[in-house]
Parts: sequence; C-alpha cells; structure tokens
Amino acid sequence: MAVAQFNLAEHQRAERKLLLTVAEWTEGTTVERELLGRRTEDSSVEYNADQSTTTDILGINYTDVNKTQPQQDFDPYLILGGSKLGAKLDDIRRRNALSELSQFTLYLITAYVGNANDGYRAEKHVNCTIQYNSLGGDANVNMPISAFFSNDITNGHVDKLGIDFQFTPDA
Amino acid sequence: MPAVDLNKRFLDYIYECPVVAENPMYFAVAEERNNNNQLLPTQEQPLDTVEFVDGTVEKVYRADILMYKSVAYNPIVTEEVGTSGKKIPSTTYLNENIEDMTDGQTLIDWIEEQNDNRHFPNFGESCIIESVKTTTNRPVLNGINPELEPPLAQYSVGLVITYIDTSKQIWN
Repeated sequence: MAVAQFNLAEHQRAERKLLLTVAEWTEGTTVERELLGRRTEDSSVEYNADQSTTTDILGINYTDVNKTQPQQDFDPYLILGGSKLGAKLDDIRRRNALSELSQFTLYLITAYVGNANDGYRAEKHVNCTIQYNSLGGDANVNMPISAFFSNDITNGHVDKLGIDFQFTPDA
Repeated sequence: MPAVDLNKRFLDYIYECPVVAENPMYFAVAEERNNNNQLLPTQEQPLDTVEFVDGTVEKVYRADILMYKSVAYNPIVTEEVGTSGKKIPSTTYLNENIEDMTDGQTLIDWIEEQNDNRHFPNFGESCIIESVKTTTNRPVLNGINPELEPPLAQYSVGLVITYIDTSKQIWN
C-alpha cells in the first residue's frame, strides 16, 4: 500500500491544529467525545521509546527499538464550563476510582493527511488511560492530565473534523 | 460571515455604563470640552496573541476611555482662625477635581462589576470573551491643558478585553 502523502503545498508547514487528539468514553449508553488541548499552548505525543544498542567488533552500532509507550501531556488542562471530560475526570478523582481512568479510547487524527472529501487519516487506540496529575493553579483551576496511548491500534480515517465523526478502519 | 466591528460592539457595551452614557462620546479624536469622553483604541500587539493547539487564539482588545473635565484651582485644605486666635487647618472635600475623578472611578467600578457578573460585550459568534478589566485601579490624570477656557484635565481609564477567537479552529 502506497504511503499517503501530506496534503500540504511544497515546503508548507503543517499547523499544529492539524494534529488532533480526541478522547472517547461511554457514559451509560451514551458515547462521549472531547477534543483535548483547549487552552493548551504546547502538547506533543512523546513516544518514550525503549531501546537497546549493541556494538560489533568493528565498532558498528545496532539499535533496536523494543517498545514505545506513547504519552501526551496537556498542561494546562483548565477546569472549563461545558467540559464533559473534565467533569468525568474530576468525578473519578473525587471517588478515587482509579480503575476508571483506563476506560478511554483515544483517536489521533493527522488532518494534514487527507481532505474533507476523502476523510482524514486517524489511528484509534483502545483501552487507554487518562491520568490527572494535579489540581490547583493560580488565577484559574488547572488539572493537568496525561493521556497514555495503549498501542492497541486500528488505523483508519475519520470522515470529518467534528465531535460526531465516523471512524472507518482501513480495508 | 460579516466581520464584526469590535469598536462598535465595545461602544454598545460601554454605553451601558451610566457615567459614560450621560456625556458625549467621541471615537479616536475628540473635541476637548468639559465632560466630553473619547474612546481611543490602542494597538493590539502581536505578542498579545496566544495560539492554542486546538487552533483557537487568545487575543486582547485594548482601549482607553479619555475623560475631559474642567479643573478648579480651589484648595481642599485652608486655614481658619480658631477661637483661641490660632490658625487651624480646615478640610473640605466639596471640590470639583475630586468629583471629576469620581466619574472615572465609577467607570472602573462598573467594569469590575460587569466582569464579576460575566456581562461582556458581544464580539460575535466566533469570539468567547474571557474577561473585561481595567489596567489601573484608579483613573489616571494624563495632564491639564491650562490654555483652554475653562482649563481641562484629561483623565484616562485603560481597558483590556481578553477573548478567544475560534474562527480559525478546524474542529466543529
């Protein structure tokens, strides 16, 4: 299968807003979603690769990547009116129901691949964990979070960039 | 979607303040006359914008409200001769200059009250107002023009409106 090319002009940089992380969870029988990163200025998926390197008698290095543990931090993650995920995490925090932190699906949408007609490339990670790191701050209440991707990945695409997108796995 | 004129929207808002509504308001330039007010938008600096990863941008709208007030050259502390014949200081606060500064203070207090109540100007559907604040807790006396008749003092109240511009967001 050919590698999909970026939907960008030659030398055009991809704006940060074209990389989206969306959390999904079930509330009763309702599936809820929320785009992560509101009021966050800088956030990256850190792959935290575990590597091992051997060197042969000629001095040549051979490096293996054994695993990755992708993680994305959102700081600040402000307590905002209307944020269902914020309310969900705050409820878990209040009850100290830690096992409920590992019930999330995360979508990583790379909107610089694809378009409005054909959809945008996305990867779906199931059984992910979203952890709250602290609660407080200065002028506004901040609850920084870390999202841990499971690497249980289904590649596919989403039909649009909106809360009610449809995810379709690759054939 | 037609562009929203933030100056007009802000004027609509600031006119809800009684101390502003009761006097003539000028935009950008004003005739220096007693009790005239002037809205003077100030430059939005590039550094005033903060881009977030979801494509929204925090911006600020800055403006000064200038208030022209006639000045009085009357002391608030005078000397009176007491019953013993000794001079003693006498203080009166019925002074035009103090009253004039009260107008600016009333505007500052009104802005603070609106901010606490989250009553904000309407900057359109793609703008979420975060806060409306003044830059100082007291009106600033910028200077006095003694060549006018009557001499005029210019007071100013700086205003900063912080808002989130969602127009460039791709997530709907």
